[in-house]
Amino acid sequence: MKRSRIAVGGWRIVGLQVALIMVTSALRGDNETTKTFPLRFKPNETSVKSLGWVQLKSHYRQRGQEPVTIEAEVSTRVQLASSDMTPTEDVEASGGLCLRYVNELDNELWMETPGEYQAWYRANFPLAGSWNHHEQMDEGALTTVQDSNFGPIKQWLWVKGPVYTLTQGAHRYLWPAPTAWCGGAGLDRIVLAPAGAPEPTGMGPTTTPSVAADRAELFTNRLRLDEMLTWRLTLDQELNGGKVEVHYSHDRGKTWKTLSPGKTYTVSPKTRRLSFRVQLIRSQDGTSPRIRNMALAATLRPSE
Amino acid sequence: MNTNMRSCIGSRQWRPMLGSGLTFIAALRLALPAFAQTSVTIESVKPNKILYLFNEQATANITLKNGGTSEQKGRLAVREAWDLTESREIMSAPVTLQPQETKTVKAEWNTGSIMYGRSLTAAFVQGSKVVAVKSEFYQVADPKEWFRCFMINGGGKETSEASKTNPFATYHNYDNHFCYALSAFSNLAPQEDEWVSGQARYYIRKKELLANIQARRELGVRSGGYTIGATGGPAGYEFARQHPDWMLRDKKGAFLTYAGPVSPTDVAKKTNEHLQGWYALVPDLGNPEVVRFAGEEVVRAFEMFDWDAMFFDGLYGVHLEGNTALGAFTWDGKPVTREEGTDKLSAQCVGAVRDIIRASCPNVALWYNGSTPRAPLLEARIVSLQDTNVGTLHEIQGAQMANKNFYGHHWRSLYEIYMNERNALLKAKGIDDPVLASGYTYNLDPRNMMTKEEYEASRDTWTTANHLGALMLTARIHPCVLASDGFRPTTQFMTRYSALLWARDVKWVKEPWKIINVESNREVWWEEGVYTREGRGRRDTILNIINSPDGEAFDLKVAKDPDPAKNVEVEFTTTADPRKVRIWALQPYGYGSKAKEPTAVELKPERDAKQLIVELPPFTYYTMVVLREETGGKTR
Repeated sequence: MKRSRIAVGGWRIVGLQVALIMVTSALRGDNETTKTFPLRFKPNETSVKSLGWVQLKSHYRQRGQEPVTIEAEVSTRVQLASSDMTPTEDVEASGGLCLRYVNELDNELWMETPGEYQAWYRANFPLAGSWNHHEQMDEGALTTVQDSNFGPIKQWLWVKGPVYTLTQGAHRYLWPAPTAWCGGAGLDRIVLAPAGAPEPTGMGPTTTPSVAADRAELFTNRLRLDEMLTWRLTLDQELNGGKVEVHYSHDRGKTWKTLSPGKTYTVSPKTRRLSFRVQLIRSQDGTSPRIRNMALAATLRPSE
Repeated sequence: MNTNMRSCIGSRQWRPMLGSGLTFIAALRLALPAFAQTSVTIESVKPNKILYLFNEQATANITLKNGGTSEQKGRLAVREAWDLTESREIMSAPVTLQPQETKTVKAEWNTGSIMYGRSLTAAFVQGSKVVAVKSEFYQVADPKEWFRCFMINGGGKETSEASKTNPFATYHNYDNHFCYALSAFSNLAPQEDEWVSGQARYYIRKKELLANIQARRELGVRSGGYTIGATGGPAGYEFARQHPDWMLRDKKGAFLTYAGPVSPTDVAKKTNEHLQGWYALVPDLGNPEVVRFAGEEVVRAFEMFDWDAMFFDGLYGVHLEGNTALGAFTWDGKPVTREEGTDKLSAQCVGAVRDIIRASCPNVALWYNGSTPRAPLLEARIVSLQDTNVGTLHEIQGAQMANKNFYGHHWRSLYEIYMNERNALLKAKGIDDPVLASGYTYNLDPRNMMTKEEYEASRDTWTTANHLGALMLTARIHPCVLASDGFRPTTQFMTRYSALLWARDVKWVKEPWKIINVESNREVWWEEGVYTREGRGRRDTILNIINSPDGEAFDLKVAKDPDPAKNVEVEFTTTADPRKVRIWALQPYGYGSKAKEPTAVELKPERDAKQLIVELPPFTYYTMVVLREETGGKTR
């Protein structure tokens, strides 16, 4: 994947809850300080933040009467226990990757065939214990699922979950935060198989296609620029054949201007507030562009 | 430009109002410039209780001191305030203080019948000038629902000892006597004069226990007992011998154990001898005779100790916790399974025990560990909460939070755990806003969890305690917190403003971003913590805003406050007359605050048609924002 960073020369900000970083700029030869303000996006219907990346929301679309087979790390949305965690490489996992320390897992489904579906998980437990997690389908009751009761360890197993009655159409299959797999249990795949079908074996059925939304329009939090002299925007992006367009507004979103990548903007009394609009546009082959670590690199006014 | 806000900065309007009735304080503010030029101070305001019941006669000692060299004459004005803006005069009396004289004045009043938190503010007034002011905080409760006010705070280095005689040191208003009994299922009202807890090795002297309960009650601290669906110690074993048909068995016919193998030498000991372990045998709560005994035993405990509450450490139910590797059977060999009918049987058991207790003790509180409604045992959990004066505890201990493999080790996860608990209660049908508690945090003394230098640097874990407090405030959690002075600002704030946190009329707002927007340079958490309440022709929208911790993970050793959230703006679209919308920001006190009292500031918004924009005062951990609309009874 081609990854680029707008306004190179900024610094990487990892994670949601990272403190504001202050750096004294020795190169400027004065006491001017710079500070990075991470930006956050407001909730949006057609995008998600998954494994730190903001991307178009996808859903698994059932083919005919086939089981719905979800690749855990390609879930609609994945959140691991901390922001520095990534999917784990494992040669015995489907696609060579699995998830460990799952905090929240969210999958949107489109079911073609209504009926009862048995949930199965391809799981791997690092040590003997009573492992469980919570899950729910749509607005149904939260269920505690016993995943292992001092069962086999360090091998991939198919674990049986609840049975869900699913209508034709859209469903949301949520393992809400925090699940109890944070102790390091591995999750490779989730299968919703027609009830009564035999237990999956090996890697299980073929992965169900995942379809991304066409586009998303995202809005950041609004910054107050009172303490800033200048700012420029930094972010990581992977276009994947799609597009990322960024606009900014000083009037609480009434008007938007196109951002010039890499440009340093000067703060004036009329530009005391600043927010951004980001448009993600899907590639022709259906792949989502994605961005992360969007932040404002600002120089600050000398303190009074 | 936010000109209104700017004009406030540095003016009297930004002066914090110390946890008091705003009407009263608004009057005081006019006189505040003279504040620093007096020799009179109010040393303390000491109500006689931390938690009153309706219509109690209350008293408070107010101690004034003249530190100067000349006689000081003035008037002592005492007001009680509640909710956000309500207040009344308690007393107004002339006071003369000779040079260097300290004088204590007693105020007396009837608490009346308005529930939740209050402040008692004493002001020394000379002419039209308030020259000294101080407040203290307490709650007033309906005896039928007093548990809605409860909280536990053991306090830290500075306060844990002081809180035994001064509950205002921590705002602790409830003592739970964990594992006090000989056997926490069967011997809850021991006939012995002294004994060793069959579960936790405490040495108990009945006389001392009863005296302690009474002494604490005089301070407004209520007391509760403890029970669990398993026996303990020699008394519990003797109970099983006397009622062999009431106990579950393993497949070999031996008593089923809950917590490991039984030591025959230990269970042969006298009840006042120390034990090596907890010998927990499991009663058959599918047997109606056992269920009846369970309820009656709890009633006997209430009668003996005059408990105000009983904590069930897990539901009484047919759910087979513990070691069932050897199977579980009734005494006559019928297998007991985990699945079949256990929910319904457990629900029947919980309901039957509760009904027996309620017939004798209608006003006591009953609270259950882990009874937040969810499967399995959904029905039983719901039944436990179909009651008044009832609560559920979500037990998360500090030692768990500190464990990196614990699912609540990361702040955001912990926040989501709390929100999930709250949401599960909101979602369950047939229950009416039961109390949600969480703890026991810092069950190990943090002084034993780090070096002396680290502990000193952590300021008695101030940072972590205040972040945790912010989460609890936002999730409407009644805290069960221990071992840090850092919890005091939170528990004090909860005491004063419990009406805005815990009252039944405080309703959660789903998808609040449709009417409210919070903008901040620093990450703040607010979307899950918006509530509303309506009445008397007005609607309050209550935002709980949390400043995000600097680190992702729970860490007791953090040594400094996070950067405060500054320039935070709240945008609010009103359906009422925007000119009449009033907005307040409330905060607990901070580390190093001179006045260790919550602050409340009324803010002036910018207006843009129906939209109001207001900038909040900076906050380090938490702020509550109240937006009050005059609706004339119209709902949104």
